[in-house]
Amino acid sequence: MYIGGMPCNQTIRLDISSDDAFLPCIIEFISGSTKAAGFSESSAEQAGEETKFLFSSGLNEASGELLHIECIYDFPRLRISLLDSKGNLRGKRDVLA
Amino acid sequence: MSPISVKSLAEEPQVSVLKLQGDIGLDAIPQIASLLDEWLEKKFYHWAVDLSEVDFLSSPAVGALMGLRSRVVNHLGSIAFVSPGKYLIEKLDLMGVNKIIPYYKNMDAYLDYFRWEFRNAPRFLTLKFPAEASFIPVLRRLVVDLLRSKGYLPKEVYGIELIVDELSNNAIEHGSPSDAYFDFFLSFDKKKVEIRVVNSCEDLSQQEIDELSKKFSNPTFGPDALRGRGITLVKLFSNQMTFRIESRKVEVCITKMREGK
Repeated sequence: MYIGGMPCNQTIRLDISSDDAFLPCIIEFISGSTKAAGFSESSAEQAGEETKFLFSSGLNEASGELLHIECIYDFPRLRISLLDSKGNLRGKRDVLA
Repeated sequence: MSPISVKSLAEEPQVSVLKLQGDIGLDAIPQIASLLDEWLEKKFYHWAVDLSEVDFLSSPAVGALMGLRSRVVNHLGSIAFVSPGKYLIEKLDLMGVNKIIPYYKNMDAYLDYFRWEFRNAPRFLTLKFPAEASFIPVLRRLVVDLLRSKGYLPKEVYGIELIVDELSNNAIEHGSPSDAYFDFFLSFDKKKVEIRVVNSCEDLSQQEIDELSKKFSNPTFGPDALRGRGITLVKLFSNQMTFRIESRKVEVCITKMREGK
């Protein structure tokens, strides 16, 4: 959604089983969502890279648990956070449009 | 402690862990063969080979493990390598072992695999998502990718993708979610897929609830109608569809069984 030609704030919250096979799916999803939220192609790619970093560390540390990813699109900034199933913050990364 | 030992895995007693340590050369083969015979006789057909402390695995040792694979596969069993080091992985890959026996980085990852394959353990996705049409292709793609990553075939995924598209678009278009978000739940295992889509909406009168319920129960559309086939298609592609309509919330659930599983 756009207000005055600028994307407005949106949030995606996702809980997913921590399965190694899901890493490429999540990277693609966050990258695609970033484009859908009105960010540029290069920002979407960077969002994918940051997700790879976060989700990989989550997979290593919380095998077999649910991982929680939160993307806050607050144009021109995207904040990606990873939390474990107990709600502990495992890491966060920012992407600028 | 012997560099070769077998024990049952505490978390999954059906699984035997063959732990090897150090250099596993030709001299180790008789002991490995003897242990394997003993445990196979006791009908242990799922094997995790712990390679975390192995420096070198000789060709005869690889051959013995390949032989173990042949024997357990005949009994619908399995074998996997757990925690092989980087150097060992390179050597095993050169021999083409990775094409026959899967590797797992640690015992937790192995247990995830085992429980998915043999315990029918499900995988979950819960998503709170902007109720905007531009996000729907991304959601569809995610569901397709997740299912494909766990071995679902393109033909199986096609119907699921269509269901995701229809239910999500319905949630956005007809639901008019008052909070601009909708909830999407996916649960799947080797036998079935379950999807639930929930959207909030403006206050529905009892008459509107009844009409919507009728539409979900007995969807109809005229021969010239360009729209209105969504629920019919969802029912066609799923094994079961249930719904719950409240004054400010609509929830649709589907179950799709995999054929031949």
